[in-house]
Amino acid sequence: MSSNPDLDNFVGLSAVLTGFSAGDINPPLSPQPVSVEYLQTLQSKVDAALVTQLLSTYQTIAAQFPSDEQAAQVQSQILTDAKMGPVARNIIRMWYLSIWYDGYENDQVSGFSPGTVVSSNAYTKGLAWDAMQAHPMGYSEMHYGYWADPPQPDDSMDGNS
Amino acid sequence: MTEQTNYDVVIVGAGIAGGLAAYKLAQAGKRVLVLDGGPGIPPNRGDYMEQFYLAMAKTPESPYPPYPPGPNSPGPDKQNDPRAVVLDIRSWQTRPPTGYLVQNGPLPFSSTYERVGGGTTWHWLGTSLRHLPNDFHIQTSYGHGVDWPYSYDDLQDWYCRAEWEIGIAADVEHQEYHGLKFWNPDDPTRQKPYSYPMPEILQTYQDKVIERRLGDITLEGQQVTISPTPQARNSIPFDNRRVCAGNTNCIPICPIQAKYDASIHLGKAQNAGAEIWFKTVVYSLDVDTQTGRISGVKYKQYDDPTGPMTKEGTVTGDLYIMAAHAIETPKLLLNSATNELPNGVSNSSDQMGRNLMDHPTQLSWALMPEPVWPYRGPLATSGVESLRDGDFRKEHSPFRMEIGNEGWNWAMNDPWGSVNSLVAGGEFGAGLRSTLNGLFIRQFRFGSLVEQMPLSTNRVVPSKQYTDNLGIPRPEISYDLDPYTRAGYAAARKVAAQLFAQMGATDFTSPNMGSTSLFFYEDEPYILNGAGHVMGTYRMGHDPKQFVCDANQKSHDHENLFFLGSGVFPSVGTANPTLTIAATTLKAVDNIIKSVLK
Repeated sequence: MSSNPDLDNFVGLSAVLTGFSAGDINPPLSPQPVSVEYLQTLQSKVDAALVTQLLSTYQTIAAQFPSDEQAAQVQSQILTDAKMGPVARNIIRMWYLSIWYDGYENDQVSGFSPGTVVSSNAYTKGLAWDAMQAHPMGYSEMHYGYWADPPQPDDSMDGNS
Repeated sequence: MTEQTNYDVVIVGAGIAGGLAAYKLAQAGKRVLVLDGGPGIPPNRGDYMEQFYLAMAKTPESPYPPYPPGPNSPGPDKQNDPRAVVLDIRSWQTRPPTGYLVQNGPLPFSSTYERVGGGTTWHWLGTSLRHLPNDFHIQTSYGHGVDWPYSYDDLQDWYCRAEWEIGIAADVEHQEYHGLKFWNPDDPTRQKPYSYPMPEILQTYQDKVIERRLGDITLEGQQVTISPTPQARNSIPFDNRRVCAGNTNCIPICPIQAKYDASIHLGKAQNAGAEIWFKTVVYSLDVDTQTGRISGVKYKQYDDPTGPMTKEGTVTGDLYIMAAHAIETPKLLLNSATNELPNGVSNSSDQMGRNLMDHPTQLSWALMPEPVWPYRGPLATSGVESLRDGDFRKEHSPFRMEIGNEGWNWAMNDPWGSVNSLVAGGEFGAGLRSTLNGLFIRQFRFGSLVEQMPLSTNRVVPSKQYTDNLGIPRPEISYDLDPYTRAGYAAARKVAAQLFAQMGATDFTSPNMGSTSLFFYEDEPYILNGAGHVMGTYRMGHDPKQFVCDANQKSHDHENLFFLGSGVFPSVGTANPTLTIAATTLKAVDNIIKSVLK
């Protein structure tokens, strides 16, 4: 837990939305936690009242339900909501692809839609790369020849070790 | 105004051809000047990497100056050094043209290039196959295309030298197919064995799964085999550069320069005494009407990429070398037309700018029945070379099948495509993660590079209507695929489907019927993709009526004008052109040093 309740709620909600644990997406010792950048992006792009509604809705869910029941609650209370749903889906896209897409309000987003890459730090921490058990294209911390063998099983924190 | 510079050699273009030529000529003690329209080479690639990371579309051009392609880039009429970019291909029919190339169709020319120190080698893949012996005489052997003025045996030694200059990783024993022979270039008896400078790059796990699943299969009378690809990336430390770390990003940019790019030979050329002027756009050549010799090169300079011209001038030399590749070179020579030479410089054949070719690239993509773990390692480490040659070349173009190692990145814009479509479909959380994982780790594609036949109507001319910010005409292009090439494209698609079936893979290939790159062959739809290979517009051959330059790459019209690059290729085979650009450059420059400037 940090001293920032907005960040705690954002990370908690993001974990449910992305399918990665809070520890995976917000490693406690990370020198450049991308969660902070993403929360700032959310707050700069979306109406403050809607952000507050989103985070407090999640806070209530987290207080009332055990973690294995939170996904169903996030789906029924947030993802199906006309206002919060599109924002939540853009948060998923942001975590996986490091992009804040324009035109999210009407869910009019595709892989070719305009938007903004949050930062180069964020690009290298996109969850899509973890989902493929690879590394960000253009940012390998591996060594020559690693590609000749399958990756380690997908239970590690960052998928590319 | 003319500067009395009096260089021995003036080279136009600072890519791999210009860089190698400048290096060899400067080493031989010649006074060399290289002119390039683009900005110079940055002290490190950090800025390029940052621009790449922040680019919304990770296209081949995305890391490079002066602007990342996209809606925020100034239009081509506002830039001093604009270039063709992938994002403009979709809107090729728009008028006024939104892209640098003015495309007349009926199909869009779909390859792009950089105008920057080091040229397009910044984002080449690094594939370094030799042309096959039969590629040099396809007209004689198969009744199609145009023969080269010399044979594979005449270029073999220069291939070896090019492989050592660039740094190619390969094992000869895996490259001896379709009659390819290798021998030590310093041995006139051709008996001594040859070795590439580095051992071959380890194949990916995916390559091995494909090899196992294909087993024994014969197509068009050929045993299908998976061959490790010769690559210009380091498998061991070479030329003070480190080994490949598998960034899976050869295109658009290798973060660690484990892949060769021409900035290396530009640096060597400078160390050997060559001068390079960047942000210097050559737009015309002067010809001495008495002697027919080139007498100067006219240029315009700028500081700011969209700012005003800062200087205009002419430089002179004894000898002039055009190394500005197959679009800018003919544009500039045709733009040099005068009353005395109304068809432009070096164009008595009327072939300058004609026979523009690419390797049209058929993409077929599938899900494998087991994980193959793509997106790890170099972008491609193996290929199917079996159908690059055979008697079928009497009926349709041959092709090489590149085994892509980036899943559906090229084919379907992944990971951006699949993440977005799944999120739009309501997936989230653990289900989303698991669905994506199941997709990504089984994705696979073939990219089949088809030999394109020369057509005189496939042509580059300087636009009469559209210019860049310096007032220099932009390239205007007419482009189509002939039936023989289309038949090769269709055959490549069919073979990919057969190989998928053989491997138990699920074929997902489907042409986008709304695409502006759609074409048909025998009523079947196909999508045209470019390979980034710009070739053929100032072809070499013996007959001055049919060819722009001779076998020494000297202009048939002007004694002191030479041509380098893939523009000299009379026909293009199926090998990615860069290695052959390097080999032909070394051969031509050796002749210049020994016989012309002696």
